[in-house]
Amino acid sequence: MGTSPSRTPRTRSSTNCVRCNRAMENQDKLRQVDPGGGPFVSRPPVEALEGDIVAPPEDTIPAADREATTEVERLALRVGSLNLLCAPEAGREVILPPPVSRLPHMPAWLNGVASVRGALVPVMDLAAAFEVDRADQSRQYLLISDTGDDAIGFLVDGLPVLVHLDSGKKMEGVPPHPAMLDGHVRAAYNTDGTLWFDWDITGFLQAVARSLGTPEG
Amino acid sequence: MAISKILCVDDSDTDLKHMQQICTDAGYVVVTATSGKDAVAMAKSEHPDVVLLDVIMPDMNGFQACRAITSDPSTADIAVILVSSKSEKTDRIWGEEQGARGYVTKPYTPDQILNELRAL
Repeated sequence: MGTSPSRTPRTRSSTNCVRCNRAMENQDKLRQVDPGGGPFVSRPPVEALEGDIVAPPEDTIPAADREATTEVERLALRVGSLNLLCAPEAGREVILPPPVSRLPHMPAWLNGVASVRGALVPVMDLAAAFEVDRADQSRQYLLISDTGDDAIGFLVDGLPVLVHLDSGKKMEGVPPHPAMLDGHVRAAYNTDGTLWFDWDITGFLQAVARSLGTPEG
Repeated sequence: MAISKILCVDDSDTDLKHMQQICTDAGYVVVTATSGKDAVAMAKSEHPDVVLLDVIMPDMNGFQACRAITSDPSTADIAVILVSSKSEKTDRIWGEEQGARGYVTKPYTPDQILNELRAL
């Protein structure tokens, strides 16, 4: 690797999150190998092969790329082999699945309604919706999202947990995903080989409501 | 942890008065709120040392209020203890996920509340 102009290091404060600090340290190590330190700059192949790697001036880097190492907090859910992320605020509470009363003429993924402290909450089986197998024997929980008439329960495997992701792990584009998630994946992350889909619950539920409002065949 | 001011939060007047009485008798300065939203607002304006927070409340519940308080840098140093009739292990874990530092199950004795406060 050739010489490169000095570059003002990005200033980042450490956090209380060990994983995030480790991720930032790893990125700093990478930066020592590649003084450009990302973002990647597209150059003509010949120039790229023959020339020195020169990092662009800081002020020419798009703001979005300069922020490339920010920490992203999400609520992580597991549904079979599918790993989903959503806004932390999306989870109102988590309970053990209560008895469900089935509703006629509903799709298989809508299990029915459950009484949660007297309020009727529709229960959606995400494994059925996304056509994934519940391969392991994880305990199921009902994640209650939203409140009042808008409340809905999602059957998930294991207890949802808050995670902190390095936004540098965000993938370019979105890998293949279940059909029902089409248009409702904000981004995908790859952390140590584990694929996470950042799920737009609001948009997803609007689409579900539209589909249920349409009379079937 | 030195505690002088406690914010008690419950949407039930009876439960709130009970909680308030326990803390007042123990010599703490007590302020009160009756909803999750008020709790978050009062955490900012009153900056108590501890919030004793009921979980089951309409609109913003205790879990959500707890997260709002503990994730806001201006109130993140306030210790939140959840107080609830929800007694599943899941509730405790979910509470911890939202940033709570303690969990007391209703019905409780004064000692249970005071022991949680001393444990901080």
